[in-house]
Amino acid sequence: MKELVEYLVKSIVDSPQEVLLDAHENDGTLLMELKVADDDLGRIIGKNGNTINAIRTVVQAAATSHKKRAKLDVLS
Amino acid sequence: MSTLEIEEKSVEDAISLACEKLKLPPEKLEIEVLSKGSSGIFGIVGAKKARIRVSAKELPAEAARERAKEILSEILKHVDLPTVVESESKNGHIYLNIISNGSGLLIGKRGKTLQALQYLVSKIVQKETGENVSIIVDTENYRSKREDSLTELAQQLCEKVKKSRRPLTTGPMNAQDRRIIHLALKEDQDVRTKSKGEGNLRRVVIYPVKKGKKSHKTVPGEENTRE
Repeated sequence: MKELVEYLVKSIVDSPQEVLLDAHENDGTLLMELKVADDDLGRIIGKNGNTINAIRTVVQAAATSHKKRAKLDVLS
Repeated sequence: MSTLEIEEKSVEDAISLACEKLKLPPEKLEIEVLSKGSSGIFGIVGAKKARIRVSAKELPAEAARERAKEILSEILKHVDLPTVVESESKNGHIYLNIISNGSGLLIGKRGKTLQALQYLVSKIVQKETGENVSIIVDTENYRSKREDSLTELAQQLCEKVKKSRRPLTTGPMNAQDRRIIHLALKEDQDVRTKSKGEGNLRRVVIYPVKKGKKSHKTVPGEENTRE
C-alpha cells in the first residue's frame, strides 16, 4: 500500500526526492502521513482537493482488495 | 522507423540538418553521436567530420498510449485482483480497458474509483509528455452501461417535465454524466437543459420550453465547453 502511494505521489510532484511517507498500522487501519516539498503541496492536493482525493480513492480500493482500511493525510 | 546517418562539420550542424531532412524539431529526434569530429589543426590537418545517427522518436500518440497502459498496470499491481489492461487509440482519445474478475471494486460507488484511476493516469501522462491527452478508463463496459441508463433517466425526466410544465433537477453529477444528459435531450425542442450549482454539487435542470415562444435552447457548444 505504501509503495502505491509513493509511486503515485512521486509521479505527480516535481521533487520526488523530497517525498516522505510515514505509515503505521492500528487495528487493521493503515494510517499514512505524507510530506512533500512546499512547492509540491498544491500539486499533490490539486484544485478543490481533486488530486489527493483521487489518490485516496484508489488507495482505499487497493486496501479493500487486501481486506484492510487505509487513511492518507497530508502534513504541512 | 527510418534511421539516418549524417556527416557534418560539427554535431550541432548535423542535428540541424537532420531536423531539416526529417522535418521535425530536435526534441522529437532520437540522436546518437557516432563521432564528435574535430577541426584538427587550423581546420586543415586531421579534420574529422562529426557523424550522428538520427531517427524520429516514437509517434507521440503511440508513446502516450503505451505509457498510459504502463501507469495503469503499475497502479493495479497493488490491487489484489487479477487484472489485464487493454489499450486502444480512437478519435483522439486513449481508451484503457481493465479486464478483471467482475467485482465492482474498481468501479466504486457511482464510478468513483474508475474516475479516480482515470484522473491519476491522465495527470501522470500529462506531466510526463507535457501534452493534453484524453484518457478514458473503463472496465466491464461500465461507461457504456452508465450512458444507457443515464439516457433513459433523461427521457423519463423529460416526459415528466413535459406533462407538469415544471422544471426538474437531476441529482448531483460529474461533468461526464451531465454531458450525457445534455446530449440525450439536445434534439428535443420542448425542453432545454442547463447545469446549475458548484463543484461536486453541480446538477442538470430540465426546463420546459413555453409553447408559442421561440425555443431558445442552450447552444450545445457553449455549454459543453464548460463541461
